Amino acid sequence: MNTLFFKQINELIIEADFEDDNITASIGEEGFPTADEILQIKGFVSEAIDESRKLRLERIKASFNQNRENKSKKMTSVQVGRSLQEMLGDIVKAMQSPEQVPNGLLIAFREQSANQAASEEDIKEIWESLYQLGLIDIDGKPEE
Amino acid sequence: MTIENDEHYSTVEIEDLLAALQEASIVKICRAYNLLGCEARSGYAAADIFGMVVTESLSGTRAWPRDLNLETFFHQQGRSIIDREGKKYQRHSLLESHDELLISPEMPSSAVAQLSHGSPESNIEQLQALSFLREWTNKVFELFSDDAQALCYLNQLLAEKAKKSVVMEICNLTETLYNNVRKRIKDKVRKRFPKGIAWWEVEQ
Repeated sequence: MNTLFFKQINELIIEADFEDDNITASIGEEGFPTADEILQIKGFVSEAIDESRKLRLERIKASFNQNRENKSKKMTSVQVGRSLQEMLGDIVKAMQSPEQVPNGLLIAFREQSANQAASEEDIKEIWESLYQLGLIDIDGKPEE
Repeated sequence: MTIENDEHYSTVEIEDLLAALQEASIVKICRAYNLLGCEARSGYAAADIFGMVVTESLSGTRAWPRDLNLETFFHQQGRSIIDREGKKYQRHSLLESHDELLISPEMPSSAVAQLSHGSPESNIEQLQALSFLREWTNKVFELFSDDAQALCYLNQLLAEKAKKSVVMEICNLTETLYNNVRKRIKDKVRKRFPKGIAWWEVEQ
C-alpha cells in the first residue's frame, strides 16, 4: 500500500475543479486563494510580462546593432580591398546608369563633385554611400 | 533561451496568453497546487509556485506545448516544480535533523543510528502511516459502497492499473460508462473531501 492511490484521488478532485464554471465563488475558502493572493498574482504576472517584453526588445536592439556593426566592418573590409581607381570606376559606372540612380541623388552627386576637389576620402565616402544604397555591385570581386 | 517552433509557443505568444489570464484560472491553478501539497511538501505557497511557472515559461526554461491550455500547462509544470522543490526541502529538513542529533548533548548513541530505519520510533511511524492509508482508503471506498462500477474503477486505481483501456476491459465499461463513472467519482470525492487527502503527511 502506498500513496499513489491518494495522489490519483486528489488529481480527480483537481479535474472536477477545472470543470467548474463557478469556481470563483470559492475564493477565500479553505484550500482556495484569497482575493488578496489573486491580486498579488495578477500584479506579478503583469510585471513579468513587462520585464519579458523589455528584455526581448533589448535583445532585438542589441542584435540589430551587432548586425549593423558587422555590416559596417564588412563594408570597410570591402573598401580596403578595393583600390581608389576601382572605387572611382564603380562610382562612374553607377552614375552612368541613370535609370537605376534616383534623379535627386544624381544632381546632388554632380553638385558635390563640382563644388570640391575630390579627395581620396571623398571618393571613399561617395563609394560607401552608393554601396549602401545598393548601386554598386561588387559580386565576383574578393571582399578582403 | 527562446523556444519558437511549430510544437511550442514562442515567448511573444506566452506573453499574450498570460496577459489574457482570467481570475477563474488563477483560482483553479492555486487550488490544484494546494491539493498537490505545495506548502507542506516544498515550503512554497501556491502563489510562489505560480510565479515560478510564469518566470520559467517566459524565460524558455519550460517549453509550453501548443496543445496544452493554460490551466493544464500550469497544473503540470507546477506539479513538476513542487516535486523538484519538495526534494530539496526534504534534503534540507533531513540535514537539519541530522545536525540537531549531532549537537544534542543527551544523545549518547550514534546520531546516524538514530536516523536509520528499523528503530522502534520508525516502526511506530510505519504502523501509523499504514493505519492512515487504510483509514483513508476505507473512507473513499465507503462513499461508493452501492456503486459497483465505481468500486471496480477504484480497485484498479488501488492496484495501480489506471490505464483507461485496462480499466474499461476489467470493469466491462464502454467509453460513455467509463466517463460517467469517473464523473461520479470526481464529483463525490470533491464534495466529500474538499481539502483533498493529505498523503504527504505519511511520506514526511
